[in-house]
Amino acid sequence: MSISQTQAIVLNRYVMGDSSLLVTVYTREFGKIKLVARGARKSKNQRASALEPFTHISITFRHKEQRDLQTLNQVEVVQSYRYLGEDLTRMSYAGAVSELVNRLVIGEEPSVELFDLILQVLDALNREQPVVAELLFWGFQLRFAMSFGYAPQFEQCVACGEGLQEESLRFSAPLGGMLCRGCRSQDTDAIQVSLGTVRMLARLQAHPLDRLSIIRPSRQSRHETNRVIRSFFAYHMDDTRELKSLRFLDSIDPGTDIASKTLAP
Amino acid sequence: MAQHSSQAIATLIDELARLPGVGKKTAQRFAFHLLRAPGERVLALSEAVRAIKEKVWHCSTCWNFTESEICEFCTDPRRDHSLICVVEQPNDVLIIEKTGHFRGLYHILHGSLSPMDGIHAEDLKIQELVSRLNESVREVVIATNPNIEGNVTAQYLARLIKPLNILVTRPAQGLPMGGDLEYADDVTISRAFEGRTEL
Ligand SMILES: [Zn+2]
Ligand SMILES: [Zn+2]
Repeated sequence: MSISQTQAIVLNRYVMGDSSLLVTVYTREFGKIKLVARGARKSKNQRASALEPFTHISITFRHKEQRDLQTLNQVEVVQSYRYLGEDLTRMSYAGAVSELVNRLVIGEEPSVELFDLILQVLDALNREQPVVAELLFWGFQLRFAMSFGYAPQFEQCVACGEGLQEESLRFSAPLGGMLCRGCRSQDTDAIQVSLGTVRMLARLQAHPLDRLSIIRPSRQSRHETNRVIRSFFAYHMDDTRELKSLRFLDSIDPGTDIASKTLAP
Repeated sequence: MAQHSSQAIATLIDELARLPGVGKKTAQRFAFHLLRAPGERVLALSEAVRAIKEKVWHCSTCWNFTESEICEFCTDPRRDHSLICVVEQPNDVLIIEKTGHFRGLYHILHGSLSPMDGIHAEDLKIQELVSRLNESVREVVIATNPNIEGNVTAQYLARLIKPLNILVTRPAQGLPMGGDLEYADDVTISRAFEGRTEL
């Protein structure tokens, strides 16, 4: 057992017993860990506010190797993203980031690169307008896959290496990228994607997150992008489950939510 | 865990240990205390426990616990019926009442929205709240807990209620973020209610 110090991002937390919290964090030095924060819910103790989801904190904890639960000693806020908590869309996408990390990072696999990526996307979600949140989340997903060593190819045909010019392109998750018309037979299950969407995916992958706000995806592009990314995650990362946060966002979509059901004449 | 000489004692300890904040050791202490206590005290306790399941249900208006169809808050003519305070749990009503400053009615959601944990509007008493909002309601104060889920819920309710031309407010800052109404003191709660801001 030793006392460890690190920076961390709060992914989620649950009430444990009367006044304690069970907190899942992604740390810079140790990857994902679970911490017990005793007495943290009693409000005179400011720890609960530091342990709210999406807060960037600095912690010391009693570190027992081979243990599932660690004990939190001290916590300080490095940065809290207050606008995330004030808008349903921003909050839901931040939730989706947290869910994805929590789900696909198994345990103590440290990655400074991933730590920085999570901070970057939370910072951008906090700063940019809510309409940009979906683009930021796609950008995050593509980079997240890259941090696991999977980089889908959107610049050229994965089979022959030709540039992508024509309209009838396909995305093959198993082959990890686009197929041109001539190579389409290489994967008959590949998804049809318009050239505009392919260009957008290439930009999402290559441009920094804080430069994505200029993109204005069409309805068709949004649909295709979601399909492409979902099929890629399903095939390479064995992740087929829906994200609860995104389902929540759908459920509060004006027109389908409880408000319109209740207020309808 | 040691074997108990009586199955009845073991069962009682198991049941007590399910209560919040009660561990095995405390449960054992309670059980042995009850064994030594006079018969009528133990019967009074078991009767009280049974009664809450037989006599207590939810007010059909505000969803607080009550023994009648409509609770004593909702039927009290001295309370301000144009003001509704929305809280997460029945316990929050007790906490706000203790300060003695709030004179309106309540509405209990029985939880809070959570994107990450998949708790949606239809899982809470939100539709029931909206259907209470007639012309005589002037203001809805959203006193959900000052944490992410409480804020999501407040945002959502504001979006739902503001189009009805009703003022929607939230108790002022001062309730510590991440905290729980349960752990805030009376003065802090009173101040937060006095300085509530429009959402
Ligand atoms: Zn090709
Ligand atoms: Zn009532």
